[in-house]
Amino acid sequence: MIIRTLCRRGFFQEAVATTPAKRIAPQFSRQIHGTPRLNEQVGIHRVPKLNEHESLVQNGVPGLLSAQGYKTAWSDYMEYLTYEMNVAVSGKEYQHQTPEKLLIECARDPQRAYLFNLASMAWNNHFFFKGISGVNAKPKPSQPSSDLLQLINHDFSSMDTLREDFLATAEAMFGPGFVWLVQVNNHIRILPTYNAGSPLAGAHYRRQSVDMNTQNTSPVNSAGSFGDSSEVQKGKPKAPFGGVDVTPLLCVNTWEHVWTTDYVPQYGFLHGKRAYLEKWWDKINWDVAGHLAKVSKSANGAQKNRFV
Amino acid sequence: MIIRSVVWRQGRRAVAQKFWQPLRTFSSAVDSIDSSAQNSLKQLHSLEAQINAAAPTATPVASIDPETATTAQSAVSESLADQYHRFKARESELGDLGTEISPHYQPNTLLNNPPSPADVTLELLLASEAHQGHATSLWNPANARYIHGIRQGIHIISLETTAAHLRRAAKVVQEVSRRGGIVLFVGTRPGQERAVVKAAELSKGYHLFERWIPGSITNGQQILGRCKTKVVNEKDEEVQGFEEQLFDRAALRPDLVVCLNPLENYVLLHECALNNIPTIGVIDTNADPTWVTYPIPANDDSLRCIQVIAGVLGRAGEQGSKQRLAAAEKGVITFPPARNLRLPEEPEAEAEAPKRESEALGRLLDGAEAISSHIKPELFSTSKSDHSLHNADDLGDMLDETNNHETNRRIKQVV
Repeated sequence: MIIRTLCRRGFFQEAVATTPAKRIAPQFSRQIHGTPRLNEQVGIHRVPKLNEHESLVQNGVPGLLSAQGYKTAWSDYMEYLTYEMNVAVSGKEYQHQTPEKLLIECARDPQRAYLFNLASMAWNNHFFFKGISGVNAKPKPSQPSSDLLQLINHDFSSMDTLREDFLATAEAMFGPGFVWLVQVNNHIRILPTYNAGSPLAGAHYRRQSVDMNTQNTSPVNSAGSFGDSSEVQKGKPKAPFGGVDVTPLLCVNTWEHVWTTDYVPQYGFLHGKRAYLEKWWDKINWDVAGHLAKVSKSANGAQKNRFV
Repeated sequence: MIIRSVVWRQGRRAVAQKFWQPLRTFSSAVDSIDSSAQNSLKQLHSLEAQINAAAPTATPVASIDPETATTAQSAVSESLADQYHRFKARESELGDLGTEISPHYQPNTLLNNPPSPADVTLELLLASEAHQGHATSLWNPANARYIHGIRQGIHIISLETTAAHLRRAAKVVQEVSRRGGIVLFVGTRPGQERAVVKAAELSKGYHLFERWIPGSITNGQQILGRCKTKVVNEKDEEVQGFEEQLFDRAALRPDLVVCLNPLENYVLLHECALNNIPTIGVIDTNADPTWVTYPIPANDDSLRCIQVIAGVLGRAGEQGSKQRLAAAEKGVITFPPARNLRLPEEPEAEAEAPKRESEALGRLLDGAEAISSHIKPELFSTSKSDHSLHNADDLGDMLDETNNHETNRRIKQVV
């Protein structure tokens, strides 16, 4: 009777199905076993390890996410992304490419739009958690360095204004996305990207910085709008083909699965998100942002040529 | 643009309601389109005015505008090199975010950053297919000691043996290089060029990836006699003033030859053997191990295996030459200087030349505290006949004499 009960609950089936096929590529294991386990990390892509991994798993991000929230936002979601990426790239010539190069390549290839989404989400999410890292031990929120502060004051007139603009932009976005603080030609800018859009220079085809449902003011017919003789181009200096050369400094992940575990809206949907955004602002690691700003500024900065 | 950024702050619903209004004109098609366009324009302007009036301190959010962000000034103010370095710096910070890539084979690393003797592991050799020999019917029984077994009709070379022999060969290359010897890397099969060149670069040696010209050693004066040679000091800096003496010296010979495909280079290996030049060779199961002094039993048909072996030996040579130069910095010279070279003298002191010459020779032979010049490197030199140049005919006679002298021939006559 006990055996029958276990059978009915599918216990034995699960036990049989979970014997891992060690050397079989993920797409084949799916055919054999039906639903392979998600946490089999035998593929080329693996979930990256964050610096304070153990304490994050136990306590979450103190002041922003609980342990369960961290699990949903990082552990489970990155596992899903890496699994899907392994399935998508295995056996292909680009199977060993890093997500950054992959997303730039796939941004202009509509056939691989899904792979772009996966790579871009993985990159964005890792960047987001990197930007709030290293602050678990510190009770006070960190402050930007003087160089970065100077840039911010020049473009946004003060830190408070930047905060207001940034959080307002993030709040106004409907649905999933990211909001970035980027550096462009020694200026600091706010850049929203919807869904899995990327701020990187080469992936501008999929920047997705506008909500297509509401901001559709661009002309439908664009014939004659490009080229040396067109009205649009007359008098304009020739810009390099391609996207803007941006360096992302920090970002906030506004996808719902990241904050709905911990920020239950009490008076309406926006309040939960607003509370999350305000708490996130206090968790920003400005050292990371400052370092990236410095890296992108230094033109001659004694860069070692790794290929000599 | 202006509308978009302002509306961002104020909410989109307010705009959406009033934006499109139905047309009211009933004139001809062209007129209607034109007037409708005018209407829309007026509506846009009024809307803009309304919103701008409603929002007193509506400063637009600083957002990315691709048209203005990349102006020609900003784009070309930086040089291409600066842009590239900035790109590379960003890549090093942000390039590996997203996922961790499992370790995998990257072909370029074997050539750009080859492994060193310390990195030689059985796993590396196995992955480089060093264990794969030829069909069992094609074997040379002299290689029996290197063979582990048979699988799928081919002989499998024992990787432990390969590793041991490779380490020994690396030690030989390192020591020869440390003592300032000429190391020649030879790989004449297609695809071996880059490996051979890289190994020679690392060890400050020489490379050959085209056909070995028979007689380059045994008939060296004929084939290589017109090649440029130079005299360098212990720090590898060229020393001027020896041009006359170099003119009538015998051709240089390598002190060690590393051959990556001995089966195609029998003549080279035979010449080396005749002239007591040690050789290292990659010996497959069908090759003859007696052709070389230090065999490395491995797969010579796999480019990856050849790149690993050439890389390891190149790194060993690099280590040796670094040791040599480090010792030279401290004043310790790790090699005997070239024979029969005298210091370039002043023209006025020609009268005292013979006496000075013997003194110089004595100093040369003393070694450590003497002048540290050596020909790069000539350890087997001919006996120098003391002739001074009077005219071109004398030069011709002197050359013939030197070339045809019996000591130039290294083959010992066995009676």
